[in-house]
Order: sequence, then structure tokens, then C-alpha cells
Amino acid sequence: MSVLDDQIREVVKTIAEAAPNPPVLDDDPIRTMPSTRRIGGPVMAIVSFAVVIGVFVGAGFLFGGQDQTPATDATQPPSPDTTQPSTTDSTYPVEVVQFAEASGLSLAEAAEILEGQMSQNEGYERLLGLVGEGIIVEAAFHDDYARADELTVFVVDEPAVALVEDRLAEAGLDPAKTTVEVAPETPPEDPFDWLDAEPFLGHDWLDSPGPHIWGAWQLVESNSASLQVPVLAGFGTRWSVEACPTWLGDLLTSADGSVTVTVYEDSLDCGEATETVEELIVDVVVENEGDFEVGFQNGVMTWTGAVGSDLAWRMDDSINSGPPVYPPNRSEALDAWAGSPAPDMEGTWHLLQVGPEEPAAPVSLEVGVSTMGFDGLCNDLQGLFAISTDNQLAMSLASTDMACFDATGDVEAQLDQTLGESGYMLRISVEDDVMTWSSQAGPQVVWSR
Amino acid sequence: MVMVVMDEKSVDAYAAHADGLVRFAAGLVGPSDAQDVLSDAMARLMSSRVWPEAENPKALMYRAVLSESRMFIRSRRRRLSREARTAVADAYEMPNIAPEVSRAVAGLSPQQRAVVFLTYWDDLDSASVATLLGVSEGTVRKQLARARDRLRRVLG
Repeated sequence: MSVLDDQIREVVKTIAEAAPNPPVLDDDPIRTMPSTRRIGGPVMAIVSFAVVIGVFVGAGFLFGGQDQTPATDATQPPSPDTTQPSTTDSTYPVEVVQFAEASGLSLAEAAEILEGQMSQNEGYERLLGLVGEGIIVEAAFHDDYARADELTVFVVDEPAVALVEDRLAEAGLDPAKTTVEVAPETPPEDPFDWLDAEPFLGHDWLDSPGPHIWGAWQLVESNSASLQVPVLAGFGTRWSVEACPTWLGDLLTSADGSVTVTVYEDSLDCGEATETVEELIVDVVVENEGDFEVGFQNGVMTWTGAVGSDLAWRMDDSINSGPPVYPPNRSEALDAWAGSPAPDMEGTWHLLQVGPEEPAAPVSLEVGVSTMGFDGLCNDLQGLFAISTDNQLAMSLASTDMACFDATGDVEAQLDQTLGESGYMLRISVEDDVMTWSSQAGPQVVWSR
Repeated sequence: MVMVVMDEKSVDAYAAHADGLVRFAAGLVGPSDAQDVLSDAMARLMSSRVWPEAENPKALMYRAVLSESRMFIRSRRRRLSREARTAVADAYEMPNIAPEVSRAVAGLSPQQRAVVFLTYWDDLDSASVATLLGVSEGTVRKQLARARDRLRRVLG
């Protein structure tokens, strides 16, 4: 045990001992895990909706699952009166009786909760259309199911207030129980929130049955038309343990007018993701003829379509070859940082493309900015690998996930040996600017613009 | 706020590991945000369809916390970057720890923090950490080596 180990252990001990108590479950028959997540744009709306659905499905009420574990449902703190339910009361629907039995609540309480949940469920459905228009910033129903139909909505601007109020009323939500306000001017904090901003408005989420996803995903889009505006495409699973938010995408318009979009995201450990696959495409794509190829590992799934929601997932060519897989394990390959003085780096970076001349094996890359004497900032823009069959775009990634404001330090690229020993090139955009950063061999990196 | 169903199995699993999980979360995102991250992680996990069939619930819970922490840290970095308009590292709240050490810890990736925490607090060997996080043992060793290298700069 070294001195350093002792020092690290002491630091960790200090942190661990400062940890708060874990969130406490309600000490009553209804065990709930509160979450701080709220609706924050289209994706989160879907997710929240799924949770609400999950409450019912999990409890087996909608489907009458007799063999399911009796769920202890999710709702507000119970009333002090937890009268044992009477299962012989035929005035209540069977689902209420089941819920009461499972939860220990009275029938009246169980009925109220279920009614509230159903009301919220329906409300979320009504909300989804509005969220899809990009005018709702955030919305949440009251978390007390006794007041479950009360809704607060934050919208993008003042004109949207009246619009949303009207739409909520048309959708059957009680105007007296809805509050619509302009959202405080806070920047998006979540990548999904960015989808509410230009140029990503008006996108569609498309569902289709997903294959068994294992390994790293790559979405490659090629389009016969030249696109001059950013493209965002994404896909992920609706609801899994990791949520598989594998959705990032960006634009790369080549000189011949073709467009290649490659998506890579580092939370790709979606081995259990057997749920539906969702694709997110902005209008600019769906308005043009386009082919989409989705590949993972060294297999290729082809996903084609022409217009809007007609996009369909085609699995004819789907191959999941299984091992050897190439997990996006950035630590396996990174071994050197190559630095170069950075010009004005304020802005959001997009690493558009990385490609070794002779792809032979999965490679890793990490780009960051050093501002504090160590590689502490922005080093989460990480991407790796991809083996193409045509050697044209062997490795690429796109990310909107790194914001490096006022980064006046060195720009650094961390490359693995495989890549470092080969020729390669990087293209990085900073906001609207495009910088080219290239090297022929080894860890030497040349920055130019 | 979203509430999520917890059946008895979930309740039991959470109760068995809650203390360790919240400390793990504190090691990843700092003590002040540990509860929120843990809550969100458990809500996400226990709403998933993989949870009822989990063969190793403990491992899933730890991975869920790590995953949630990643998202949280990214969100926090962006927010801080915008608010401060200055190049700050992840504002990792570190009571009773020197600022330079806090910054060094903040400079670790979530994965590195996870490996460091499980190694030095839970006294797990590389194989056990690998099992818990679902990565290879080699990855754990490399993450740990890189983390130690970074921390050495301020501690050594």
C-alpha cells in the first residue's frame, strides 16, 4: 500500500462519509421511489408517459395480470386511514379491489388513486401532441393523485401561452386546473432539450420493433441531395435500464453533395435493450429522399424511407454477428495526449469525423481541452471505432455533447496506438466555423482553420 | 415528480444496498446531489423491463447509478459552462477536501470515479469491480491507473 493509495483512500473516505442518507421509501404499504425527472421536451414527455403506463402495467391492472407480483403502487402519501379493503365490495371495479388488496388501502382510497392515475395518463397523451410541436418547455401534473388532473405547463414564449391554453381546453383538460406560463429563460441542460431549439424543431419520433441490440450502434445516413443545414438523427430504446439514449447526430456534407451522418454515443451498453427502437429525424431529412443505414458491430441494419412517418425499419440485412464485439471501451486504447495551442475556442464543439486511412481495428479517440493543468474539461467528447467495408469512412462520430466555453488552453486529442500509427484526419467544428485538424502519423496533431 | 412502482422485491433489493448506493452516488456526483441521482437511477431502473428478470440486482443498481451520474454530470457541466462562461471543471462538491484535490477528482471521468470509489471505499478487487460495473477487468485496471495518475499530480 503506497502513500498515494492511503491519500486516495482518505479522500474517498471523506466523500463517502459525507454522503447523505439514502432516499427513504414511504413507510407504508405504498412503496414509491420518487424521481426528480420531469417532462422536458419530447423525449422526456415520452419517458414520463412510459412511467405512468408502467405504473398500470406493473400493477397488472390494465391487463389483469393474475400472475404478476402484486404491485405496491406509486402515488401520493396515503391517508392515515388505511382501512383494510373489503374484497367483497362489488361496487368497485375488480382492478380497484385488486389494488386495494395489494396496497392495503381502503377501496375508496384505491379508487381515487387509480382514477387520478388514469386522468394523468390521459392527460399525458393529450400533451404529447403539443410537446411535439416544440412549444412546451416543460410540463408536469400534480404529483398528488388527489389533484392529479392539475397541470402546470411552461411554454416557449408569450404567444404560445394562449395557444397552449386553447389546445389544452380543446383536448379536454380543465382550464381551471391548468396553469400555462412562459418558461424562465434557462438554457437547455439536457441533450434532449436541445431538440426544442432550432434547427431541431418539428422532428418526429418513429417507432418500430427493434432487434436485439448488443454492442455499439452506428447510424449512417446517405442522401442524394445536398443538405446545407444541420441534420439531427437519433435512435434509442424507449425504456430500458440504461435508456440507451443513443441519439446524437450531426451533419457532414461532402464535396460531392452527399451527406453522411454518423451517430455514436458513449452510453451504448444496451445489451438488454430489446424494446422498440425509435428514430428521430428532423424535417430537413424527411423532406428529402434519403436512405438510412444503421449498423452495429460489423453488421448492418438498413432503415429506409422517404417521407416523414413512412420511414420504416427494415431488418432484412440485420446481422448481429455476436462476438467478437467491439465495446466502446475508451480506456482500452487511449495512451497518449497530443496537444496543440487552441485558437478562439468559445462555443460548442462538434467532432464531425475521424477517419484513419487504413482502418484495421477498432480505435479510440478522445478530444478535450486542458485548462486547469490536467485533462479535466470537455474530455467527455469521446468516440471510437467503426469499421467500414469500403474504407472510406472508417471511423467517425458526431457529438453535440461538449461545451467548451472560454477554453483558452490547449486543445488535446487523445488517440490510441492503432489510430496514432496510421494516417488520420479529424474535422472539428466550433459553432458555425469549421476547423481542420490533421496529422499524418503518430501523435503529432496540427491545428488549422 | 414521477413516482415509480416498487414491488417487494424492489423494496428488498433497495433496502439491502441503499447505504452503499448513496455513498457510491456521492462518490460520483458529490454528496449534495447523491440522493437525487440515486432516486432517478432507481426510478429508471425499476421502471425498466429488465429489472424484474435481473440476475444480479446489485450490479444493475450500481450500473444504473453510474449511468444516471453520467447524465447528471454532463448536464451540470453544460449548465456551469453557460452560467459562469468560464472554463470550470465539474463543480464537485467536496467537503473538507482541498480545492485542488476537489478539482482533481472532478477531472476524473464518471467511470474513473466509480472505479476509484469501489476500490478504495468498498475494498473491491479489480475482478469484483469489473463484475459490478459490467466491464472487463483490464478496463478496471486501466481506469484505476489513469485515475491514480491524475490524483498523484495533486496528492503526490
